[in-house]
Amino acid sequence: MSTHVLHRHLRRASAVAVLALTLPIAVLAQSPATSPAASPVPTPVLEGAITVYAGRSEGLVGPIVTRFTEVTGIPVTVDYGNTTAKAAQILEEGAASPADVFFAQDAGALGLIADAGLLAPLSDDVLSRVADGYRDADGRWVGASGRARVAAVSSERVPEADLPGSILAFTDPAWKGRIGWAPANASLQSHVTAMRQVLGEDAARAWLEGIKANEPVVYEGNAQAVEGVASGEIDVALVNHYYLWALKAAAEAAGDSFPVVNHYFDAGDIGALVNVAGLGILASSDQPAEAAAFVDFLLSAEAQEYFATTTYEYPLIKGVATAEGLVPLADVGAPPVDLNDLDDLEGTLALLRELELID
Amino acid sequence: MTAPPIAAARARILRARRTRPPLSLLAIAAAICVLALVPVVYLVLRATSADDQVIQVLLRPRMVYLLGTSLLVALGTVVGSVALGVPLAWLTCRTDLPGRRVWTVLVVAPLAVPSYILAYALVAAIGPGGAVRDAMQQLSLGWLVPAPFGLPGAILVLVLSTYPLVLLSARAAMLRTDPAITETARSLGDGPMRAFVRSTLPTLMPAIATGALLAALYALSDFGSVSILRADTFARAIQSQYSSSIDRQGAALLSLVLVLVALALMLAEARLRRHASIVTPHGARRAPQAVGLGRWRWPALALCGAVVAVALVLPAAVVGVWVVRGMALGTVQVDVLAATRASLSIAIPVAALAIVLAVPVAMLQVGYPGRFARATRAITLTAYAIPGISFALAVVFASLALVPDLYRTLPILVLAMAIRYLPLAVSPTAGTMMLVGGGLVEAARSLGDSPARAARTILLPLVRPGIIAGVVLVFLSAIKELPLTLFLAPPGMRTLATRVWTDATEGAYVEAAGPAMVLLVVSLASVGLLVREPRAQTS
Repeated sequence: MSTHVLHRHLRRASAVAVLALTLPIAVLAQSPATSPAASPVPTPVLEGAITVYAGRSEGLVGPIVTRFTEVTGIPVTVDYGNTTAKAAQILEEGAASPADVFFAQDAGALGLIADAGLLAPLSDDVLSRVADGYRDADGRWVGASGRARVAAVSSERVPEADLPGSILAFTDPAWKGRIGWAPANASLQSHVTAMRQVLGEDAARAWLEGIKANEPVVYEGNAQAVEGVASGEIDVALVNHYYLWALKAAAEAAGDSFPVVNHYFDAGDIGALVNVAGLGILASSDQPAEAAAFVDFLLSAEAQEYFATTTYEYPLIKGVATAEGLVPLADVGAPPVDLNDLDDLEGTLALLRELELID
Repeated sequence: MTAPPIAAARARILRARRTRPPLSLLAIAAAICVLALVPVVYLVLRATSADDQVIQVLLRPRMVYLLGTSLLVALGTVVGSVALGVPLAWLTCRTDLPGRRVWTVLVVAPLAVPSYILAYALVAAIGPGGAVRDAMQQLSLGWLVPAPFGLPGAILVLVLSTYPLVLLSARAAMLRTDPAITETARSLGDGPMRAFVRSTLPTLMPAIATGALLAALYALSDFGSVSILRADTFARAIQSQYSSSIDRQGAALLSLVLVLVALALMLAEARLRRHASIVTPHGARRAPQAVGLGRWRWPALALCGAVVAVALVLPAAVVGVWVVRGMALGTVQVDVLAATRASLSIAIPVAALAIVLAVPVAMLQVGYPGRFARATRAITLTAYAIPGISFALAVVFASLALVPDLYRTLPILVLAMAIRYLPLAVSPTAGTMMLVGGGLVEAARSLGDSPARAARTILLPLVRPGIIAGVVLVFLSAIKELPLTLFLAPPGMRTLATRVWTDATEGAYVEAAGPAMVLLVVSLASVGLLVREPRAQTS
């Protein structure tokens, strides 16, 4: 067979292959629900679809979102991403944002968006379910689940006695090369904001410089950092408490060991900060009723049970118990930090950038 | 009977009339130029409205360091891709390499493997938790396995992703070049290698320079693989600024700097091409006599085999391993179908729109070469050449400012991608149009046909191979595309590319494997259409 004939056959075959593969799928192609259409008159029956910008991971909150659609029949399109990136996106988009709800991983990002006037006030019913310290003073955002900052440490390589009571002690050179963190993660950024508020700018800067001097391993997210402890890449990860439980359960289900434990810091230490993942409804939303239903559902007993028992976070409404094995929220000994004061995210980002911890 | 040389055909067109292009072509070209420039204008506006603090940020040592590493990565990529691309082009084009026809397809096939999939394969093999690393650790040989992160890993991945660009460019030039040059040299006593280096290589320099430029631009703008490999480059910093900065001015400023660097490279390449000696092809375009490799065929085969193994077989194998692992773990890949639908719902309209826009632009460039054609070419090339992340950011700024209702909807995304990849459709279309020769279109027009009818009945059937190549190239680029999709896809729309990238950066090897496999299969099927062997032209 001559070259030309071979190539003609090859081309034809490829063309047929590509067409055969793509045409049927293209015919079936339909983009998922995009920006909600503006409805001229608010309807009492909740039918509209909503878009949620979620700074939380799909693995953790995907199931409860699906459950919401099952229960209420309201379709939800979720845009997952990094909380800080999503907050920046909402600020950039302003009124043109397709988002109806912002589901953030920490209070700082919510405060930032609220201060920009982009969040609508929430109903008293929803706000009253959560204690004062876990919601916005002006009622623009509400906490959905609590998380304590911890050090996830290797149970094999780090003896209990070595662990410091204060997070500030991790700047000791003895920890060089053994620490991991995720400076791009909103929870850490919120923690730094808390340090700046409570301990002052200079102390926060000194701590960051001290950790930097210990050459920490940088991860994209908290889950990777905890996995780094398990795999031996690092000994200590500065993360939120709940990652350990989910990863441990998954590893043990697969028959692997997961030799990592959570080390809580001393009561009142800034390291023991308790933050909240929370929700706010965008003022520009075309589906405020459906968005309110979403917030309402995530603060219902069913969703709070989910957060308690499946993601191992701290539920925030009364009547829902914390998972077994977790240090109860009251015993964490959180420092007196007002979550409303964590909205200076920009200042923290500027500091992190100045110290070249993020780009 | 030989086809009229291109130069003579063009001269004839120019002599025939120095009239302006028809209004319809001008209007289309002008609209395209405006669409291509508007995002850049907004990027400049956002970047230059920066206050002092941001300018200080720009002048930090870290920024200088990042620019330096980016240029280092670009240089390494150019050196590597030329070192691989040119010899492979020569081997598959001018020698009697065993299985040459098969190798011709295989060495180009890595074009189908997006750099971030190659990066994912590298990390999923030898990164933490990687398949090869795990296996070696079981044998207590874990220390032998190098870490994939950092600049060397990035350069390796980028070289393997870009050498096909140099190869295709060099190969096209080799096929166009009259073999008589080399044969004359050989008849005067030069050995095959010497004849190639001294007589053919200089005529290939423009093509190699073009290929090298494409490789350098690719390396500068790539952020998909450098973020997976955690290599500190400018493009990665832009993405990081974009996602961790409340105010996007910093990202806009960095994007603008990268755009300027890219433009500088383009100007350098244009200058290089003007100064290089160009031998216009005269006489017969016939297949050259293949150079006998003799015992050198074994090293040659080894080279081809090694490159194909690492650039093609490795990613396919690693992805395959993780797909199998996923199936064993029972992770059902329900969303691969949704991701595939999403990718196709973008890539197919983009390819269709790009070729529809490309035909009039190509007609303008070939039929009415002049100021307008040159301006259109320069503007559309700029929109293509500037780093994807910069262009994506620019489109975000522009669409929020001008058409907020269309922001993050499919039409804007498709339009932005079609404009960006337009040169990929115009280039082969214009190329075949030029080979056709202007006389046929002239004849049709002189007999009373409108430009549209002349195009439809005369031109289009003859330039079909070029159009098909254009459609496939744009489709391939659109389905692999990352930054525009990340920033502008409708909420919740996850394409194959964005799924692979987000999962790979999070170390979720299993979740990334399914979409990666589909992307590889669709891309490889498309690349088969790109392989061409020229026929000797007869009139």
